[in-house]
Amino acid sequence: MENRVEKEIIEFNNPRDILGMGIKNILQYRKTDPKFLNLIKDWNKTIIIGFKDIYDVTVIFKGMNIHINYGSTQDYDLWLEIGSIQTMTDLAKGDLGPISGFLTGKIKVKKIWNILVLLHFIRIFIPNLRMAGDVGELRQKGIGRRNEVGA
Amino acid sequence: MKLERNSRINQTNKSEIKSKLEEIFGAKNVTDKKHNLLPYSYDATECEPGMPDFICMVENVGQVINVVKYANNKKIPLVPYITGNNIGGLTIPQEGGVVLDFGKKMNQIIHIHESHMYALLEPGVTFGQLYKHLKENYPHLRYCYPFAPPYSGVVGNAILSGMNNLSCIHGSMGDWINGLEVVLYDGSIVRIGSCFMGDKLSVDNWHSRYPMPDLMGLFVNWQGATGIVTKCAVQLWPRKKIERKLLAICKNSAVTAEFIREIGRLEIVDDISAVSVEVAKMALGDPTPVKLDSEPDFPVILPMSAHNEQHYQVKVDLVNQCIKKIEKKYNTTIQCTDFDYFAACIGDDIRVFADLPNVITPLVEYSGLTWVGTYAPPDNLEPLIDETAQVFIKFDIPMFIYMKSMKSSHYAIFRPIIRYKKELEEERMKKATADILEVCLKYGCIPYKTPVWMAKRLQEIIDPNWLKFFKRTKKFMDPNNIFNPGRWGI
Ligand SMILES: Cc1cc2nc3c(=O)[nH]c(=O)nc-3n(C[C@H](O)[C@H](O)[C@H](O)COP(=O)(O)OP(=O)(O)OC[C@H]3O[C@@H](n4cnc5c(N)ncnc54)[C@H](O)[C@@H]3O)c2cc1C
Repeated sequence: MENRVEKEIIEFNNPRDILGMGIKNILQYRKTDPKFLNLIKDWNKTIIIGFKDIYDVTVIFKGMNIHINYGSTQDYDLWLEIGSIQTMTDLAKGDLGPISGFLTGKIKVKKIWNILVLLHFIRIFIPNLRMAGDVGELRQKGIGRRNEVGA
Repeated sequence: MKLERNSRINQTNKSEIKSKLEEIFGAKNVTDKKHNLLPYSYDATECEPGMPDFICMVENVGQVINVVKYANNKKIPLVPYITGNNIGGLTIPQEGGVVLDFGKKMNQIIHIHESHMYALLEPGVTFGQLYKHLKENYPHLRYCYPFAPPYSGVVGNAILSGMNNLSCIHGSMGDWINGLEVVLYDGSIVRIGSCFMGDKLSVDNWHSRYPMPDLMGLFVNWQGATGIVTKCAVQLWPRKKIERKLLAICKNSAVTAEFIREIGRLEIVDDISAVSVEVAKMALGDPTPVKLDSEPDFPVILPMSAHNEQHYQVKVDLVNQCIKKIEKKYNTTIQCTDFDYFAACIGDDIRVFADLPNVITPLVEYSGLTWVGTYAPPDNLEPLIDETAQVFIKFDIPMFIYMKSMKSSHYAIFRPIIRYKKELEEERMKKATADILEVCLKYGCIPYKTPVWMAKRLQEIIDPNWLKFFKRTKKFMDPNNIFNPGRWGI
């Protein structure tokens, strides 16, 4: 099953807003992982990621394409609001899990009845975010920084 | 591009001068070949180019003494040069003459005094070189790093009062000079600061600048127009156990200006670097970014250091408390989080602004780079941002503003930056920088690393008595006007 999409690649557009660029970066962490490709392929859903007090980003999964657009749309399958950029980095670090995020109100969801879509999106997004967290941890320890001596 | 200006050296005595320079520096260290002279005749900015007549690679103090004596006798211009990265045309010869290049062969870290915490440097030492040396040999000490490339000069930036990633706590780099060794116009050597005591060869007596009259001012910010620096001692600082950064995002000019001022006044962050959101997007790969309506205006990086986790946490709490106060006052939200984790989410390339020294790619990817870099009154940051934004819009240039709190917000840095295609866009950019300069002058900003054209404009509005005194001082320090003549527009 996994071999089926092994050679395929995900096509991204080039978002021109800063948070859209960030979402693309996060989604790219596993872009060559067959398990991830399977999750993406033909999922055909529209997810809005709202950053509270900043703005919304719409992520459209279609075939093997991921389109990330500035702003929101009426026509979505799931809307997820991240309370702050601190919530995003807490999720990345693993200091906050998605469930406790929902329970504490740091993450909010619209169309929660689409529970399968929510679970699917969590499987797409959260492991990538945690990988970003690993990178953050390395950088904090001084590993992989651009001014690393001997790098 | 007109390169030949009126050189003071006439063609008839050129070969005599060349022989003398070869005698002083050795033939292999002297050139008058056009293709070798050309790179010294211009820089990335809009400043008018001008050819030197000779380039000499300097190796030691003795050579400097000899060349100064000779040049003073013959009234030959000497243009000291390290790496020419000043972004102000400051090493472009105004009247031809001899460029003394210190960057290639006079670039030793002479001594690190561990307990007195200073580095004694030859003029050619670069930021990258000092960073590596400290990291490998004195990891408990640190120096500061600007947004400048690692291959640019430390001493050049110290004597130009540059700003960097420790400027919020310690201010301008000019303040951190403990001592200088300078060759004066008659070839005599003077040592300024505590190094005036004791054995002149000692590397241990460069610990302080005061309490004698501060003669350092005769050389700092003069752009090489009063003497040639041959040694410079710069202060180092203890490296704390924890060095991290916070990232805050601010929504408009008023909030950003208040954030810079108030966080600076807390006296707990090493630096505050605010850049327009467009700049962050440039680093993340958008070559022609446009700010979208709901995007925050300024991401701000706050490098912080602490003795331990507890100390760090107290600092973070204080920053957050200050943010709450600003949020309340302006009815806004300022989001703030750990920079390392934020960068890993948004894109590692954003780290170019944090991992210093480093080549800041958005700054160097065009053939032209210029700015109106100013020391600014912190209270005026808001109108400065708003009115400069109008100039960027008028000239259809992506907004690129860089700001800092200096020395706990006693003053600020306000630096609108323009990248451009040198051959194609220079005339338009000249107009844009001229307009930006007017905005800055209107709000009491003083341009630093001042290009000649800005200095001339400045002269129209400053106290004439200051100017008279300044000219008299130059005359006293350099009666035959040999040191980088034409600088500061005089
Ligand atoms: C992309 C980029 C980003 C930058 N960002 C910053 C920043 O964030 N902060 C900042 O402060 N700077 C910044 N700069 C400016 C720059 O780094 C400094 O001005 C530079 O480090 C000065 O060193 P230099 O080697 O370029 O000196 P040069 O330009 O060669 O010389 C500087 C001046 O000193 C004089 N001089 C040279 N040698 C001597 C000597 N021996 N005795 C007396 N006078 C001498 C020269 O004539 C000239 O006037 C940036 C530059 C670039 C290219």
